[in-house]
Parts: sequence; structure tokens; C-alpha cells
Amino acid sequence: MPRLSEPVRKRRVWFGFIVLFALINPWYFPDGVSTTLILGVPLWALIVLAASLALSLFITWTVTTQWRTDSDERFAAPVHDRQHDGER
Amino acid sequence: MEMELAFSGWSGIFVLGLYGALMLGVGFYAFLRNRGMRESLDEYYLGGRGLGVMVLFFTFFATQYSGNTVIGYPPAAYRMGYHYLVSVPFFIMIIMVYLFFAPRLYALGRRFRLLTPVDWIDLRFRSKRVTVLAAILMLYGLANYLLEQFVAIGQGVSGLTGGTIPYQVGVIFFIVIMVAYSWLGGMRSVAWTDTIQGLALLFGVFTLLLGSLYYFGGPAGAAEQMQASAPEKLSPPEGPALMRWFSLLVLVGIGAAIYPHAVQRIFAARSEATLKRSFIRMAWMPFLTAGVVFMVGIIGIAAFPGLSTAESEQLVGIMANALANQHPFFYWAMVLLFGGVIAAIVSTADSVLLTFSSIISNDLYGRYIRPDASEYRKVLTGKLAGLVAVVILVLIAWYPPATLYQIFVLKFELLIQTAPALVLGLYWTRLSERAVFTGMLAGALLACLFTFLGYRPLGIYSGLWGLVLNLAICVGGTLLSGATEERRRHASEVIGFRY
Repeated sequence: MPRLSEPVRKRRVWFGFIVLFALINPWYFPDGVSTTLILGVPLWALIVLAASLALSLFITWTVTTQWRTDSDERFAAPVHDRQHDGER
Repeated sequence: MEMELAFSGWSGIFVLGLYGALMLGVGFYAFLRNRGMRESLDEYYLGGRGLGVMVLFFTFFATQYSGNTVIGYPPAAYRMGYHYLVSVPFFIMIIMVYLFFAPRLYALGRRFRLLTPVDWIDLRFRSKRVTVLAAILMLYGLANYLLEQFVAIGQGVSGLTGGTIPYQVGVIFFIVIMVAYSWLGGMRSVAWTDTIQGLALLFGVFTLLLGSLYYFGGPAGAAEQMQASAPEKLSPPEGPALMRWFSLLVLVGIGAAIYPHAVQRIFAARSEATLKRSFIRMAWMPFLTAGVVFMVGIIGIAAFPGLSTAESEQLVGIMANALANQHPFFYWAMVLLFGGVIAAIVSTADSVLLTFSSIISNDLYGRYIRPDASEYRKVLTGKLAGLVAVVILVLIAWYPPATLYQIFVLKFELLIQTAPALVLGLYWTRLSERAVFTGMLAGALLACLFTFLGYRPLGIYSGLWGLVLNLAICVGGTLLSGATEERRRHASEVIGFRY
């Protein structure tokens, strides 16, 4: 049977996604908070942006470390002319 | 989407002509490089499953970011202020949602040489009615999606050239070029042109932001303006605005990740490493695209205060015009930007068209009508069916029917109804074919009904109501009466993995 290690079966991935999803929704700012501006941008917006950056970072970590299959080795990809399809 | 850029009549025509020639050149290059391509479905529709990181990334980019991101998002930011900042995280959500099914689907795609999303559904359920229904929903949704892109191309071209090129000529010119390079090189030319188109778009939006910052000032001026006229645009969203933020994140995240042309790209990756690297890049792109156009809209608040809703729709055109008058560099950069916008619409349209053809080739003609046909014939049938669809859609774009307008807006509402079969089927061996079929059909009908009646209970989108019903039937039906022993065995063979 092919081997598969995938994000959806990892508790830490679910935990991270739930926490970060909660943080990219701006529900947790106190009511009537006087809007603090930093270089003309509201502080709450910067916090949401920081949470979004954290989500991108977490996705990067998840893709890099929590996802691994043996499908390429097992079901060999067709041999290709590598020069001509844009690989860098 | 409307834009008026009267300043760029002939230079606009020049840039559009150049783009057209470049795309055709790419098509010929792909054709000459891969002579055997037309013989095989794999080669034509998936680029021989050999797309590298850079090209795969840009072709994913083209499925998510279209001309509308550049033209439509700044006006929304202009009107909603920081409440529209949601456009940055919602593009990240798409990648997050991918991670819940792409790893497994990639592994299955390699093992079973899957070609289209419908191919997967057929392998999993081995049921003609589920396969055909999923194919019809996808074809219908994709066709309407394509129609929307054609209308946008026409409006974009006539706007960019200040009406020098009429709407119809613009549409025909780009559609002929698009069909030509798609036929010549299949997925390879689609993905390569996506790369060129994506680069043009990125260059354009960055110049627009830098120019705006330089000539109109930064976000501080916009904040002053908002504080004076509409302070709520600066404060965190509350109540309905917060609900809207939340539902956009969920809807866009799920919706865009399961678009058939997006799913199909998972199968085109050269290797798992390639797919992973493309996803990582996609996870960071929202800051460079949605974030940049969002800031352009915010700067517009200070630069052009007091625009009405209709006027604000022209915001990007207004700002580009103003910049173009400042300096020749910006004049040409803005011409390139609008060329890039049209190129981005074309690059979204070509991806949709290719997926449309592949479903006809492989899933309808190749599976049920002429299973014994040669691959060459199957590809040819897909090409011709795509051409017929394009002609019909262009006619609809020119002579929009007065009644039943809604049947042409159903896209996402129908596409999303295939999600339970696509995703639940990956994990749940008990999932019953009957429940999947009933759920998909009921969900699609409910979504259509709500759309026609303009009915939106609780302010929630009709497609989502359909999906809720669909999921309830899938899960409820399976719990009441799961798949038969034989079907379960088949499912275990297909989706069984060692962990």
C-alpha cells in the first residue's frame, strides 16, 4: 500500500489552523476601541495582517514538514525534457 | 467591470497587439517543442504531467487572480476602507483549504493517472449517474465562468483603447488568439502564457502602487480623510460587517480551492516537491497582489475623495489616468498595466476552457460515447466541443437574453456542489454512492431555486445553502445506509494508505 503523511491527519495542523483562523477574523478587539494609527494604518489592521503572515508561515511549515508521500518513487513520473517546461 | 482610459488609444492598441503576438508565439513554440502532443490526453491537458515550479505556480496564480482583482478590488477598498482588508487573508485561506485534500489527491492522481476532477469521482464511486451529474455541473459552471471572462475582455479592451477598438472586435481578437495557442500547445502553452500574463500583471500593480504613493501620498492622508468623513472605515468591523468578513473567508476559501481548473492543476505537477513549492509561493502571494491593490484603493480615498459608488468603480482608471499625465514612464507603465489586466482575464479564460474541453474529451466522450476512440480523436473532440461552446458563449455575450438572466450567473453555486463527492470521497470508505448523487442533485436544485427567487435566508449565499443540504444528505444518507460491502472494498483499495 502506498505511504502517505498528510496535514489533515495531524492534530497540530488542525490546532494551528483553528487558532490562526480565529486570529484573522477581527472579532477580538474591545468595543469602541479608540483607533490607534501607526503610519496611518489602524493598529487592528496591522494585527490582522500579522496574523495573516503567521498563517502563511504556518502553511509553509505544514507543507514542508507535514506532507510526505511516496507516490513519486512508486509511480514514477514520465521522463521529461527538463529544459523546456520552465523549471528554474 | 468598466474602465475608461481615453489617453491610451493607439498605444493601447499597440500593447494589445504585442500581447497577442507574444501569446501566439508561445503557442507555436510549445507546438514545435512537443510534436507528439496532440496524440495524447496526458500531454494535451496536463502538459505531460511535467509542469515545473515556476510555471505551475503562475498557472495556479492565473486561476485565482484575474483582471477583476486589479480593477474591482480597489473600488471595494475605497468604499469599505479597512473592512476590505479581508481580501488579503481570503486568498491565503484558499491554500489552507487545498492542504485538506491536495496531498491525497496528488498521490491518487499519480497512481491512477487521473486527468480531470470528474475522473477522480468516477474512479471513486464507479457510478455513471454520479459521474455524469458531476460532469454536467462542472461544465455548466465553467461555461458561465468563461462567459463572464469574455464580457470582461470586451469591456477591458474597449476601455483601454478609449473605444478605438469596439467591444466585439476586442472579444473576437483575443478569443481567436486564445483558442489558437491553446490548440497549438494545450496545457503547456496555457501555463506558459499564464506565466507571461502573471508577470505583466505583477509589474503593473506594483508600478501603480509606487506611483500612487509617490504622487498621491501614503495611508496617513487617507486615514485623515476617513476620520473626518467616515470613521467607521477605520475601526474593526462589528456585527454584520464582521459576519461578512467571516463568510467571505469561508466561501472564498472553499469555493476557489475546488474550482475544477484549480483541482486539475494538482495533476499537472511534475513532482510532489514541485507542487509543494508552488503552494508555498501561493501562500505568500496575497500580500503582493491583494495587499497591493488594497493599498491602492485606500490611497484613492485621499486622492479622489467623495466619489459615488458608480464613479468609484472607475477608480483604477482615474488613478492610472492621473499617473500617466505625470511622467512618460508612468504613461507606458499604465498602458502595460491595462494590457496586463486584459492578459490576466485571458489567462483565466484559457485555463477554464482547457478544463472544459478535458471533461468533454475524457469524461463524457471518452468514457461513455466512444470509449474505444483513439486519444487523438478524444483530444480533437474536446477541442471542437470547446470551440462550439466558445461560439455559443460569444453569441450570448453579444445578445444577452432579456429573461432568465440568472441561468448565466450560476457558477460557483453549482461547482461547489461537487465538493462533497470530491473531498469526502477521499477519506470516507462508507460514503454511499446513492447519498452522494441525491445530495449533489438536491444541493444544485436548491441553489438554483434560491438564486432564481433571489432568496437569501439569514443573508447567507444560495450556493452555501445548497452545499449545506448536499452535505446533510451525503452524511445523513450514508449513516442511515452506507455503501455496500463490495463498494467499500473498492473504496479501501483506492483510498487505502499506510500512514
